[in-house]
Amino acid sequence: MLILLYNECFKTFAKWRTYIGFIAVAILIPVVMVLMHLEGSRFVERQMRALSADFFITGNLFNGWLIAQIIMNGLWVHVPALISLVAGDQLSGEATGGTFRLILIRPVSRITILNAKYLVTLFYTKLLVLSIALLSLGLGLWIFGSGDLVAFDRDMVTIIPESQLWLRFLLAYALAIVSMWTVASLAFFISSLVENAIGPIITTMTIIIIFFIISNLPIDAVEPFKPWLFTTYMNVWQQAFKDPIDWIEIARSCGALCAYSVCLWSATVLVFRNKDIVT
Amino acid sequence: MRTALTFLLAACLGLAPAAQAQRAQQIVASVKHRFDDVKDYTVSITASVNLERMKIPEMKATLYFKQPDKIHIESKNFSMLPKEGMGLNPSDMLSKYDATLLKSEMRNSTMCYDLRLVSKAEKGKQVREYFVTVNGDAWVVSHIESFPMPGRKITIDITHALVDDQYWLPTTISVNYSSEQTDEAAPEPQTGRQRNIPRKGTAFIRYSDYKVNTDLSDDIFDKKKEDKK
Repeated sequence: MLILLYNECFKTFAKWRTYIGFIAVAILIPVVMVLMHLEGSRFVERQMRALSADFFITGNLFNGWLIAQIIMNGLWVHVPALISLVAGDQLSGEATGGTFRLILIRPVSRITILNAKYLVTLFYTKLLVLSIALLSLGLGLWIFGSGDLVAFDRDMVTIIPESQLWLRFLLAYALAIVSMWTVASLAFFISSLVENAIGPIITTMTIIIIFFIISNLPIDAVEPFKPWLFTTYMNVWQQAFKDPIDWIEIARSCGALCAYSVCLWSATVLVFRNKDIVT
Repeated sequence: MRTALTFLLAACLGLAPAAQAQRAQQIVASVKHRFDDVKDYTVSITASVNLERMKIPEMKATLYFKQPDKIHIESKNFSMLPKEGMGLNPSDMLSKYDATLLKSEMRNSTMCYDLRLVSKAEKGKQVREYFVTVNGDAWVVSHIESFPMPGRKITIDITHALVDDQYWLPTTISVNYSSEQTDEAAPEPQTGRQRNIPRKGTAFIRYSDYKVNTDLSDDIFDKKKEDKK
């Protein structure tokens, strides 16, 4: 299995398209940082303007932590696209390349090969999220310095002390990985259905966009459907910046996301086991 | 004779408000005079602020004050301290407000004066009204009530202690923000500043480790220089 994993890793990371996500992140995050630097602390001042009329407000609020959180908020719509770029190519790429027969004649079961590909997909997803974490926190703290985090929510402002932030961000990125694994599982499943890599990318994004819209619709008629959509739980990482942390909500969201991932993986196994490989 | 008495009564009634205002000015002047002994001070602050729609941990800061009205707050971490209470300066009370004496009575064996302060008309500035209680033994402000906007009330209780055996300075400030509107009754969404200011909550500030009259440099209060750093 380890050799198989190594081989799949090698194949995935030997492809040019695997690095598109990392390159996009490496360009986008520094650009956001530069723009934020030019904008200055006006963003925070705008948010705190009403309060500064009645309160003396001090401390470095426009710091690396805040920038990293803003980037997290902004990127989670785009990161699924970068993930499905690789996850969607895992099985359909083999079909397109006509290499399925070649790899399946080896004395390992189809499921073992599938599992190796799935694990590599999850590894890539984790690596992409970690690269976002490393770049946004590293550059953010280097350029803007450290301080307490002002976490702006819809109807709440939470100030998180600097001493708690490493752990909070660690939790946020860990939850983000769980959430992105569901996206990867979806793209991986769709990849098993088709023989063209473009299909899974477009289909995954279409599903995510539709689910996102339904999840955020403030209409009573869609309320019964919301608990069944994985996009309802994808913002679970935001729980890391609440005070107190709602561990029950985190467990509920992670449970739903993991259940989705397991179901998608099971469906992929079912499809792939019975797949008639003709190429 | 009757005409003379009527004239005297009318004169007394007419003079009464003027006398009240004069007495109020004397009380404020006494407060200012007591505070004038403090040229500057540095104090450590610990504050707990609990406002609706906000979660703020306990804050620690250092406050620098220099006469007549320079305030600088230094904090490594985030701090959000109420201007009401901390910002009301006895010098301002005399120069920027018109005072009226409402009541004077003994409370807990201390002579207390209840004053009404109305800010003098200033172009572009809203007229503010404060109800202030002055402790007549120490000549310090011990209680403030203000109404920053319709339906909202801020109540401030200040305790003082003798620092260096000669200066009466605050040891605790307790601020209570209240609103006549309940969350359900409040028209949402409101607009502008009213929408964002928390309607209800409390703030408690504890002062410790005073250093009085240490001849603080003006550079500490220079915001532009601070920003350049």
